[in-house]
Parts: sequence; structure tokens; C-alpha cells
Amino acid sequence: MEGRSRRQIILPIRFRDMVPGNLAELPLISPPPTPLPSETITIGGTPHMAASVDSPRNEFGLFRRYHSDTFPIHDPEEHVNLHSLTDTLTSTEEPQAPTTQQYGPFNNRSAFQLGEWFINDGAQKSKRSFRKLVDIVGSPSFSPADIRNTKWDRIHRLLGQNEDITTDSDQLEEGWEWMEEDAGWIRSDVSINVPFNRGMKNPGVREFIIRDFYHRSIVAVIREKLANSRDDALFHYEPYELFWQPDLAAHPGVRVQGELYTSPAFLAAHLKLQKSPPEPGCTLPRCIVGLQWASDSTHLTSYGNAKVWPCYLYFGNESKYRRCKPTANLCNHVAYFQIVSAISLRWAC
Amino acid sequence: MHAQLPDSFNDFILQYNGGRGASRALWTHCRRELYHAQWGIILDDEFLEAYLHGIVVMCCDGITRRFYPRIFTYTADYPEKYATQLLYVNLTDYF
Repeated sequence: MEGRSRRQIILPIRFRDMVPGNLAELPLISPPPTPLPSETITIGGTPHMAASVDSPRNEFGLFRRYHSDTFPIHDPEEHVNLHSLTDTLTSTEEPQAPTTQQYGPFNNRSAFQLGEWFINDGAQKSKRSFRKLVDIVGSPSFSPADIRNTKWDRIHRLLGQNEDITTDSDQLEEGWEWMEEDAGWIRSDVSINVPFNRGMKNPGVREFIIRDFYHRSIVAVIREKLANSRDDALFHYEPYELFWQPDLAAHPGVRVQGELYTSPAFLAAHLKLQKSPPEPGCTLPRCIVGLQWASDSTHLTSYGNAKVWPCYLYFGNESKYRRCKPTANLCNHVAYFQIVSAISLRWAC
Repeated sequence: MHAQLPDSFNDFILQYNGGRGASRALWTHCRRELYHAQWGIILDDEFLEAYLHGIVVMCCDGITRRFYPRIFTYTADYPEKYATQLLYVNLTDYF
């Protein structure tokens, strides 16, 4: 008798998984725009009469609808791949070997590794920390000769400073780029009016001044972002509505929410801007930069009360998946709110 | 509460209130004032100018565009929300 033939196992559809694909690319030539009746479309509570163009559907039935006569020239979705959205895949790009310049005040890699271990590995010694040290010293790239002439005290002193450093002439000669990270920070005094009521000894309003509020110019941060070619490719200048239409014939399409640049609020702001009168004599395309702020005060030490209260800025024109990806470096520090105690006081009456 | 005023603030109050400290209400008021004063500095005239008239930037694709910053979200935890909630309202009133 013939043996039973091996049964071919087919995974049921519900268990099949596939990697999410990109949105369909925008065609080079825009289809004729579909005029939409004003009463059917309301965005952010305001009806509008603009025409719209639909992109082709991708394998999941997702398509984009731009409220414009033509597709945008700059299509960030073209450049998206899994690597740009997640860190979990192993990176295909080899990290660049840093040059001497990139080790900051450390004169070479060996010195940097030791210094990094000393500073970042906590004050208490542990077995794990010891093993780390052994790994550093035992690695073939570590050379004891490199650190023989390292001036540790000087390095620690330099790392502790963060201001007026570029005015020092001998450091300027060495031209450390990393020091310029601090450039662009502004230090301001903040004044508040403190009311003293009639029941108090000296009624009236007095000014109280708090010094050393560190912050950055928001416009400078925006300009820096837009000039950054790495981020610019995936920066959405134009919002769109994302629709899901699994079956072309039977389904009118369901709105898909998820990104700020596909949200009704962004689209409403964009359309309001397009409808507003342009700057005199200006014919440049106008775009929205979506600012997303965040702040959370943070304890710096396990014991003690050293705290900072940073203010962060993200751009809503970028995908939330990229913003959540730490190695994309899309978070901008823009301010450190003043909270520390014992600040020098100056008051004016 | 997060927005602690510096210790010297307490001395400042003691000095003008005959050695008596600030009431809870005054502390709260001053913390909020300090927070909003700092936001007043962040959202400076340069930013308001950009908000109203845009900033012209030559993008990496070679096209020059005029960008208008708009504030969409503010993420903070529960205590910080108290300090923050008037911010957006104020800005939208302004324009």
C-alpha cells in the first residue's frame, strides 16, 4: 500500500503575517482633481471647497488624499523603509569610525572608553562594572600606550564647564566641534511680579528676578531642522488624509488616523493657511511646521533633590514611529525650566 | 509640585512680610507666574513674527518655502498640566 502522502500544511489566512509595506508612490502626473461638494467635507468644523487628488492604493488598500490640485513634489513616503521606523532590525549601516576630532577632549579612543566608564558607570563598584572595565582593557583595540599621556584632570575640568568655553583661545585652536553643541543656548533672567496684599506688612507689587533660565530660539531650532538633509527627506510638508479602501467597488473608504500630518487638526491648519492672504509679493509655497512640546521634570540622582525640568520639542511633520526611535535623534531640547534652589537674587522695587 | 521657586524667594517674602512666610495661595500664584514668564521668553517676538508671517527656508530639495510654525500638542504629566493648561488658550486668543 502506498504510504500516506505528506500533507502540505497551509497556514490559515488569519495566522499569516506580513511586513507592512509602504504607501503607494505618487504618480508623476496628477490625475484631474475631483471637486468635492462643500457640504460633504468638513475639516476641523469648517467646510471647505478645495479640490482633492487621490493617490493609488497600496497592497493594504491604503491611499492618500491631498487637498490640492496636484500631488506634492516632495514625497516623504518614498524614502520610508523599515529601518527608518524601528531599531529592532539589525542596522545594515556600519557606524562610522570616529576620527580623533570626535572624541572631544579625550585624545584617543582608549582614553575615551576609560573616561566613559569612569563617568557613566555609577559611583558604586559592582561586578558588572568590573567586568565592563576588564572588557575595555582586554579589548584588542585598547592600547595602554594611548592613555599614558592623557591629562585626566584637565579633561574632567573641561567636561564640567559648559559655557564661555569657546572664548578660551587655546581651545579654539583645537577646534572642537562638540563644544558648539552648546552654542545657540540663551541665558535669560526671568522676572515675576509678586503681589503683597493689604494684610501683609508692605502691600503692593514687587518684582522678583530669577537668573539663568537656559533656552534656545525656537525659530533657530526650526531652521536647523529644515536645513538637515537627513531629516528633511522624511519631513512632511503637506498633510494628507489617509484612507483604507479594501475593495474598490464596494467601499467608499474609511479614514485612518495615526499621524499628526494626517490629522484633521493639521489639515485644517494647512487649509486655513492656504486660504489666508499671502505675504505681499510672495509666491512661495506655504507650509505648516507642527510643533509638539513636552516637558517632564526629572530627578538627576537616586538620593538627594537635584532636579532638572527640561522642555522638549518634536516636529509633527515627522512620523511618530521615527520620533519614538531613539537613534533617529528627533527630540530637541529647547529649554530648562528654572527650578533649582539658592539662585542669586536681584530684586527691583 | 514641580515648579519650585528658589529658596531665595522665601527670603524675599520674609523680607517684605515682616518675617512671615508666603501663603499657599501666593506660592501657587508665583510658581504659575514663573512658569508662564519662562514660556513668554521661549515664545518670544521672533517666534510670534514667524507665527504670523512665516520664515523663508531653502529646503534640501532645492525648493524655497515659507514655513509657519503651529502648536499642536503639549505632553506633560498630571501635575504639570495645571501649569500648562492656559498656554494654548492664551496663544489662540492672541491670534
